[in-house]
Formats: sequence, C-alpha cells, structure tokens
Amino acid sequence: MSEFELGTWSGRLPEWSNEELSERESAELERALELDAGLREEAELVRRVRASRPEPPADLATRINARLASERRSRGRGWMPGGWRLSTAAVIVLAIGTSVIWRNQGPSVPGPIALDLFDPVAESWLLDDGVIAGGAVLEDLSDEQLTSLLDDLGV
Amino acid sequence: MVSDAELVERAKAGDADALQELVSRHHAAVFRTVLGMLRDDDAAADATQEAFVKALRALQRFRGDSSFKTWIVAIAVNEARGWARKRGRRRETPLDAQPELAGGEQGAADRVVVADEVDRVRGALETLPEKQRMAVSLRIFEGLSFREVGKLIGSTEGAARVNYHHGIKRLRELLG
Repeated sequence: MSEFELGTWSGRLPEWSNEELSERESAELERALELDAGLREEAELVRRVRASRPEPPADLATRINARLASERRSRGRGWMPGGWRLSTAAVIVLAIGTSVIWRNQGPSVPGPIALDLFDPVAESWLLDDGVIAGGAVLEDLSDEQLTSLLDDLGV
Repeated sequence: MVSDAELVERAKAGDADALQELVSRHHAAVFRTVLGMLRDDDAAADATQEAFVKALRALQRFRGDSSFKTWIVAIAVNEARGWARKRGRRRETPLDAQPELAGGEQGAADRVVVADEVDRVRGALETLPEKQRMAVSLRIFEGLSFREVGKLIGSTEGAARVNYHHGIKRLRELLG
C-alpha cells in the first residue's frame, strides 16, 4: 500500500470509527487494516480516544433552553417579523440622522441627549436589525466574519 | 430527520421547538469543545449557554455558508477564549470530573478499569498543543471534516490535517 493511500485511510479513521463510511469505503479500509499493522494501531487509538469522549451534564440542554426562553422574553420582541424590523430600522435611521443634525447645529444642542439616543439605538441595530439597517454594509461578510464582528463588539 | 438548515429557517421564523431541537443536537459538541479549552465542567457549561444565547442573537444573520454545527462551535470557541482571557489562567480539570460512562450494567471493577483508561486518554490529550488537541477532538469526538476543523482552529484544511496527524502520532507515543 502506498504512503498516499495509507495517509488517506488514516485520515478517514474517525468516520470509520463512527460508522459513517459507505459500505464500499468501509470494506476498502478494512482491507487496508489487514495489510498494515501501523494503521491497525492507529485505528485502535482512534477507538480509545472516541471512548474517552466526555458527555455534558444531563440537564445542560434544559438549562440552555430555559436561558434562551428567558433571553427572548427579556428582549420582548423575540424574533421580530420583517415588517417590524423594517419599522424599527426606519426609527433607528431617523434617530441617528437626527442626532447627527443636532450635533452639527453647534452648542445649542445638549450633547447628553444625543448620547442617550445613540446607545440604545446602536445596541438594537447590532442585535436585531443588521439584515435591514446594515444590509448594504454587512451583505458581503461571511458568517464567520459576522461572528467575529459580534465577538469584537462584545455582543 | 429534519435537516439543521430547515430547523434554522424555522427557528428564524420564531419556532421555539426548532431552536430546542438545534440545542438538543449540538449542545454536547459545544460543551466538549469548550471543556477541552477551559478544562472546567462548570465554566464549560456556562460558556455553552452563552454561546447559544449569542447564536440566538445572531441567528437572523446566519446564512448557511457553513453548517450550523460549525457556526455554533465557532461562536463557542470565541466565547471560551474570552473566558480564558478573563480568568487569566486555565485551571486543571478537577480529579473528580469524570466523563459519564456508558454501560450501566458493568461491574464496579470494570468501571474502575474503564475510568482509568479514560483518565489516561484524556490526560494524554491534555498534553497536546491546543491546535493539535482541537484537531484530534473535533475530528474524532465531533466528526468534523478537516476543512471545518481548519476554520475552527484558524488554519487551512491542510494545516488542520497536519495538526491532526501530529496529535495522533504524539498520542500513539504517549498511550502506545
């Protein structure tokens, strides 16, 4: 058996151990196992590692579901339908625009009001309405980039 | 069986049952991954919860470029890194933190032997550098492809493959 074939089968041992290979692949791998002692040792190691797999606490799924339900309740809106998202986005755009105009008008506009308006708006936009309000900016980001962005923002 | 992609679409539309099913399918993989990083059962359980909360918040923007499993595990990996940074150090796994063992009808002696074996393997895994450890556990515990492992450890598919094989080689030396 060539080094290449050995390397290929070695990399497929996790699927073999999880019984995820097709019948044909499984038969080929088992033939390879008969021919190569090193591969057999590795298969045994993969089996041992798999057997050491830790399991989560029995009630973890229940705790997560309770937490998610609480999260949805605390946000009040849960998953907003598209129409509501659009309305919220319009309000956000209006609020941001207004705060920018106020800032540009000079000292007669009290700063703290603009800040008070901005913070909750920013949070809402990031949490719920990126698809609508930020669509043009976020459209080209992959899920990983979005995840990383959320993480960087501490959301 | 309903696919993850379909469950995600239903969850996006507000179906709480679909979200619960996603939790049911993937919470163990998330827990195991963060446990491997934090080495503390309680912290891993908390980080798993936080990862799902963040996923819920970002769900509308999940477009299915990767599988839901890879996506939620990636969120969890970031979460665990944040926890590790905040904690400033990584605690060792408590001695009584044994994995749950299958086979309720095993005799007590058998259970002790199995527990020893599990301790040995997990102890050996813990000695691996993080990328090797993650590559081995994500491949063998979770059945992720090398491409998915690469995304999660921040490397190419080829580098993930190399990390996996180095990890396996080292484990053979330690456990052989």
